[in-house]
Amino acid sequence: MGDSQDLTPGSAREFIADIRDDLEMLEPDLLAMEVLGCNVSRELVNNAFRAVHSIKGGAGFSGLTHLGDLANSMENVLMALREKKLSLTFPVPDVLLAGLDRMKSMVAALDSGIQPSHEKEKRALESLISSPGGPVYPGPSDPFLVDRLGHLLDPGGLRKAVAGGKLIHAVELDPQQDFLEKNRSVRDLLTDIEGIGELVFADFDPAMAPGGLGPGHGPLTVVIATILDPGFLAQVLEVDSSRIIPLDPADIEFQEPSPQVAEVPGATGEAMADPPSPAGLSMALPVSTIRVNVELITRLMNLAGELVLSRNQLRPLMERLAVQDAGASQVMQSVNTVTSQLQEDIMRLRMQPFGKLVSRFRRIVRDLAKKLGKEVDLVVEGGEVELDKSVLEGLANPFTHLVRNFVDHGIETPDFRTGAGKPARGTILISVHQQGGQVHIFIQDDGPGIDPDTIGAVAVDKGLATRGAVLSMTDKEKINLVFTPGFSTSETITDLSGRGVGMDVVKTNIENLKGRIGIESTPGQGTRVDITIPLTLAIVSAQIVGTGRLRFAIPHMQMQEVFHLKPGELQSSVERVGRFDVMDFRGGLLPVVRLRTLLEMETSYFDSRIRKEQRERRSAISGSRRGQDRRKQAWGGIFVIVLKRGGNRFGLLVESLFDTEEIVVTSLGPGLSTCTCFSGSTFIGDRGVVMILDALGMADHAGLDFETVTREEKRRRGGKDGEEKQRLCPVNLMLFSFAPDEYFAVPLGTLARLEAIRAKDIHTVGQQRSMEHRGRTMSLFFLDEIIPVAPCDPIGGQMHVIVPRGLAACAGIVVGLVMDTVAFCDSLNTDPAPVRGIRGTALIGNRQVRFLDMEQVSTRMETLAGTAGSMVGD
Amino acid sequence: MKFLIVDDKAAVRSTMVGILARLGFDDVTEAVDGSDAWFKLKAEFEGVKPETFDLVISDMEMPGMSGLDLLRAVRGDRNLKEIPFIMVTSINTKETILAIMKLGIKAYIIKPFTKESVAAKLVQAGFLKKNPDL
Repeated sequence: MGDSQDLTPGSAREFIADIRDDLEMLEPDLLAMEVLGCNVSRELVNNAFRAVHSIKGGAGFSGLTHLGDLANSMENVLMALREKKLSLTFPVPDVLLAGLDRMKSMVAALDSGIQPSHEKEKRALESLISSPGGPVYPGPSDPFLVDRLGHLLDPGGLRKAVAGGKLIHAVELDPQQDFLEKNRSVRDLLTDIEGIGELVFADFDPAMAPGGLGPGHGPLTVVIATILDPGFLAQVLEVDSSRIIPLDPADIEFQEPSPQVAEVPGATGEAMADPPSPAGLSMALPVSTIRVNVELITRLMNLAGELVLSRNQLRPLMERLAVQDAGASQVMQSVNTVTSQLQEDIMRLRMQPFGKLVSRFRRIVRDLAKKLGKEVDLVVEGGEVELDKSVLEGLANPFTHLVRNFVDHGIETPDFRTGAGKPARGTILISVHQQGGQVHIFIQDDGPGIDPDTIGAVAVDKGLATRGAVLSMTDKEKINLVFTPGFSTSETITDLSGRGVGMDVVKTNIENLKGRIGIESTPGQGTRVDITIPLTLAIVSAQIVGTGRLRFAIPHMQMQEVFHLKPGELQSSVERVGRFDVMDFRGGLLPVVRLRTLLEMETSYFDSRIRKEQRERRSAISGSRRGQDRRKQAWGGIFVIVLKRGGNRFGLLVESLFDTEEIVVTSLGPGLSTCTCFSGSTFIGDRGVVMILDALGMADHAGLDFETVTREEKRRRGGKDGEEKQRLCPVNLMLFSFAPDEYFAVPLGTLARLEAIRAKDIHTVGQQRSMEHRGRTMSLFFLDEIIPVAPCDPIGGQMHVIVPRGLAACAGIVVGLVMDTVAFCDSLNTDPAPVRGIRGTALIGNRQVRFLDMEQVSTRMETLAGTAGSMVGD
Repeated sequence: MKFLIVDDKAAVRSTMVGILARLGFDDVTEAVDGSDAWFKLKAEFEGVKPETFDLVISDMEMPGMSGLDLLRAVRGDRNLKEIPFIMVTSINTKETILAIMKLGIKAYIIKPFTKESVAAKLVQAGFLKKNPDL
C-alpha cells in the first residue's frame, strides 16, 4: 500500500497496538490447538484465523509489508486447517508458533527500524500447504490479448455490463493444467462463471463436451463481466491470478458510458425508497473498552495527586470558615470524598490482570518441557487479580526466570516421576491473590524439592559461604542461599535457565518493585516461592523525617521500626566496629549512619557553655569522651529509623520525626539518576518538594559492609551456639489491653499505624463509628466487633486505634491501653477449639496474652468496612 | 447518502470514515459487528423506525455474526433485501465468494484499502462519478 496519507500517525499507532493485541490473543489459541490436535474445534481455528487475518489487515494499513506477507502465509495454513485440507499434526503447530514468534519479533523491532527476515518461517509455512503437484504453471499471458480480442467483443454487451458496475476480465485457460489435471470440465467453468457474473465472450464453443479437450488443444480464452477483482476471480475459477487480464473498457474501442453511470444512483435510490426513514434512531451500542495512551493516564494520575495536595492545603482554610458557616464543612466533606474517589479510580485505570502475563508463561512451559522431554501442566489461580501496569511489567522478567527454573529444576522426567510414585505429568501452580494494598503470588511445583545440604555444599564450593557458617545454618537458611549473587547449582549451563542470571537477580527485581520474596522447599514434595508486592508503585505511605531544616520521606515499606534515644543515650550505646558505628539492637549489632553525615550536610551542635550553635568537626558518633561529651546535651534526643536492606538492616539517625503521609512518587530526572540516596521526590503541601530516601542506595553510599558486622556479631555471640535455636526469629509484639485482665498481642510488623484517641474523637452515626484521620474518614471497629471477646472497658479510659498493614479499606481497630512492646521467642499454646481471629495464647510476664490472627482480623474488617460503605452509599 | 460501516476494528472503521469523508460522504454510521449492524438496520426502538441506509459497507471476517451472515440476513428481509452492499475483505474461499455473489453485492473492497481503491469501488457501485482527480 502506498497511500500512507490515509493514516494519521495516531491511527498508525492504533493499528500497531491492535496487531500487538491480536498477537497476544493468537498465542493461547495456537497452544490450545496443539493440545487438541485433530480434535480441535472449528471455533478455535476460526479465532486464530480471525486474529491472523486482522494482523494482516493492520499490517497492510500501516505499510508493514513484510509482516503482512508472513501473516498471509500463516493465514493460508489456518485456512487449510479450517477447510480440513490440512490436519493438525506435527510439525504444523511448531511451524505456526515459529511464525507467531517471528511476527512478534518483527513488531518488537519496529522502533529500531531493522526488519528481521521472515523468509525461513514463510517457507516453512508454505511447505505445509504446497500442493504435491509440482510447481505452478507460470502462465505467460498474451500481451497482445487486448488487440486480439478487441474487435471480437460486442461493445453493446460490454457497455451494459460496465453500467451495471461490473469489471471486465479476460482469462486464458490451459486445457492440460486447468481442466485435465484438476479433473474439471468446461461445464464446471461455465457454472462458476454464472455464479459470479456473466460470460461476455469465449473463443470456443460453450457447448463443447469435456471430452473435446485433448492435450493437444490450444489455450482457451474467455471474457467475463463480474464485480470481482482478479484475485477473487482467480480463486473462483481455480486458475493462477497471473492469467487474468483486466480489460479497461476504454481500450476496447468503446466510449465511456457516463450517462448510464449517472443514472445508477437514481435506480438504487428507488429501491431504497421502500422503508420509511425516520431520523433519530442512532442508538450506538456501547463499546465496552477504549484504548488510552498510558502517558495520558500517568498525567491524570499526577494531576489527581496534585489535587489531593491542594485539597490538603485548602483544609485549614475551610475549617476556619466552617466556624462561621456550617455549609463549608459540608462542602469540604464532599470535596474530600470526591478527591479520594477520583484518585482511586484513576489508579485503577492503570490496573491490568495478572493473567496477561500468563500466556507468555504457558508458551515457555510448553517449549521448555518439550525440549527437556518433560510433561508439565501450568495451573494459574487468580489470573484476574489486577496490578498496576508498571508493576506487571516489572514482574514479567523475574517471573519468566522463575517459571524457567521451575520447569528446568522443579519437575522431574516422566520416568523418574512414575518411579517416585507421582503422576507422570508435573504441575506448576501459580496462585495470585490480593489482600489490601498487597498482592501475594506464589509459584510452586510438585517436584523433588531442594536439598538444603546440596545448596550448602555448592555455596561452600563457590566460596559464597564458609563451611562453618553453613554448618550453623538451619535448612531454611541454607535454601535461602540460592538468593546469593553468583549462585547456580546447574552443573551444565543449559540454554534454559542457566543464562548467567540467578535467583539473586529475581530477588533484586522483586525488591525493585518494593516487594519481598521467600522460598520454601520440602524434599520429595516440591518447592514454593512466595512473592508479595504492592499493588501500585505510584502512591506509597511514607514517614517524613527531618534533619536540620530539611525534610525527607522514607517509604514505610523500607522501614522496620523506629525508636527514640534520649539525650546522651546515643553516645553511650554507639561503638565503633571497623569503619562503622554500630549499636546493640535486639540481641544483635545494628550499623548506624547519620543522615546529615551521609548527605554531607554541615553538622552543628548547640554548645551549652557558650549558648551558641557550633560547627561539628568530628564525624564519628562514638568516642572516647563518653559520658562527658559536650555534644550530648546539644544533640538532644535522636530517632533511630531501622531500615531493611535485603536481609540486612541498618539504623538511620535523624533529629526529628514528623507525620506519616501518603505520597505521590515522582521519579528523578535522568540528570539526577546518579544520586543513589534518593529514589524519587514528592510534593508535600506545606513543605514543597521533598526527596524520598532509598534504603538500598543509602547503604551503598555509606559503604556499609554488613559482613564485617555479621562477623563481629558471631564473634561476640561465640560459644552460645547452643542457645541459638532459642534466639532464632524473635517476633516483636505489641501488647495491649481491651478490658481489665484481657490482654492481647499483635506482631508489630502487621501494623501500619498506632494512634492515641479520645472518646470524643469517635463519631457515631447509627451503628457506624468513625474518626477524622488525615482528612479522610476512617471507619472504626471495637475489637469486640471483630472477634468474640469481652466488651471494651479501657483501663483508665485510655484508648488507641491500631491500623493493620495492607488494608484496602480505611479502617482501624479501637483497643484499650497500649502497654508495651516485647520480643517474643517462645511458641504459642493453641486452643483445641480455636476462636476466630485468635492464633493462640502465651504467658508473657505473668500475663495470659492472646495473640491476634491479623490475617483473619483484616479479612473481617474488610467485610465490615465493605458493608458499612454500602450502607453509607445508600 | 447514509452509509453504514461495519467492522470490528475501530482503527479500520475510522480509516474508512476518514476516506469516505474526503470523498464527500459524511453521513456515516458505524457498527462494531454484524449483530450491531443488524440492530441498526432493523430494530425499532420505542416505536421509532430504524434509519434507512443507502449503502452497507461491511467487513467479512468478524467475530459472532460475520459479513456473510449479515448479508444473508439482509437479503432475507422483506424491507432490506434491495439494500446495496459492499463487502470488505482480503481473503475468501471459492465457496464464500460464490455464496456472496449469489446473495448479490455491489462490489468488493480489498483490504488494505486506500482512498483510491475505495473511490474506484464506489464508482463501480454507482455511488460516485468517475473523477479524474482521484
